[in-house]
Amino acid sequence: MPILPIASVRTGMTLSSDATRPDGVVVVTAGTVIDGNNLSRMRDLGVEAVAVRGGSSTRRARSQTRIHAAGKRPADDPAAVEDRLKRLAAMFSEHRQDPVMRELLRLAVLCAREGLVRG
Amino acid sequence: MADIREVLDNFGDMPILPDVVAKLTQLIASPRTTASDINEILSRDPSLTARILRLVNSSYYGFSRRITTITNAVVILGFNQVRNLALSAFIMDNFSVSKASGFDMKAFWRHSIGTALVAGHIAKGLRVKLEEDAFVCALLHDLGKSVMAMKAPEDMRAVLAVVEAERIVFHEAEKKTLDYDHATIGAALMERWNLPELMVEVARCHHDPESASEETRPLASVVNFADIIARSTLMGSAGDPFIPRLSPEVFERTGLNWPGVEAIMRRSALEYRESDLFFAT
Repeated sequence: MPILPIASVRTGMTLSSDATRPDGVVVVTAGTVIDGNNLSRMRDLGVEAVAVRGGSSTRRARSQTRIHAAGKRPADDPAAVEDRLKRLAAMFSEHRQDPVMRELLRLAVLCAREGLVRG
Repeated sequence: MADIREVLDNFGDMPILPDVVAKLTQLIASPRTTASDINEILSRDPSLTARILRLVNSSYYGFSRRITTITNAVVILGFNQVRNLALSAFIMDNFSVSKASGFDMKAFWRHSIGTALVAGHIAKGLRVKLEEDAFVCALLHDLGKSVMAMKAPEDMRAVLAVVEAERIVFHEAEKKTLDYDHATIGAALMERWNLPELMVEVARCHHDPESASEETRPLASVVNFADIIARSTLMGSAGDPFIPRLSPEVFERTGLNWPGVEAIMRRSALEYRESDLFFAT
């Protein structure tokens, strides 16, 4: 059962297990044929890798596979930091007008940039 | 809202508090209890003893020398903290399997551990001494979620679907989906186990500290704030990728300022790297 990084997933492939966000919430269920809509949705919701039928099973593809990637990358990996900043932006998006939450986000971003936050 | 005891009964059999923890709770209530009494009880469970010592020697406690015996741990930490560590270990061991509910139990406990670390630090700064209780109350604040994931996976799946579809926090999704919520379920189970009323009330009121009694409100506020900080430092997952709003009343009640918040975030983030110590090996 090949597992592909989301960047390598193409329309027409079929999910062989549920595609989940980093927090475990299912985004698209197993058995779904991937089309443009659900592919965008998986990308938008932070799915990083999926198990598919008919996809690549190369060693390189497997080595790139990280369903819960953020916690497994080195803390100072720029891509991991970027992932965390995106998660924080999405997390706080409902509170943009709230000064207390804006300050909390500022501190969280500071910690994330310094590699202290590893989730 | 449904009768919460009835909901809990319908969930079926629940783990029973082990003799060791129940006996520790009894012993703590007695003024004649000594550190060696506690040691005698815990020595009946070597794996629990080893786990407690592992936690005591973690960077959270930050002792300069290694603690190698339960008697020493009791002398240094006190009866309550040792009982709390035993209780935490029991609950994490018994509420760790999610039956196809879509709920990531490991990430959930990591979030709870993170919240506990943060709560311990917030409580250290309060005038009222709450540090001992803050850690365990924060660790168990969302116990009801793990109960739901284990005993009512369909309910859990329904809540997670609403979280995702409406992009709202877990406890708001519960209100739209169920006639009970994780806060009351967790509190009801703690009540059944005869845990201290403070712990029960914090679990029940952690999303709304203003609804807690005057006595419990400071601790409920600490746990509420700690949950928000743990989320903002991406410690595990509470079941949703969002964050509740921090109320100015809660912020004020904890007595923190922003440099203090930043210091707690930094320290807890470093301690959180040892969170595996909390899990059974």
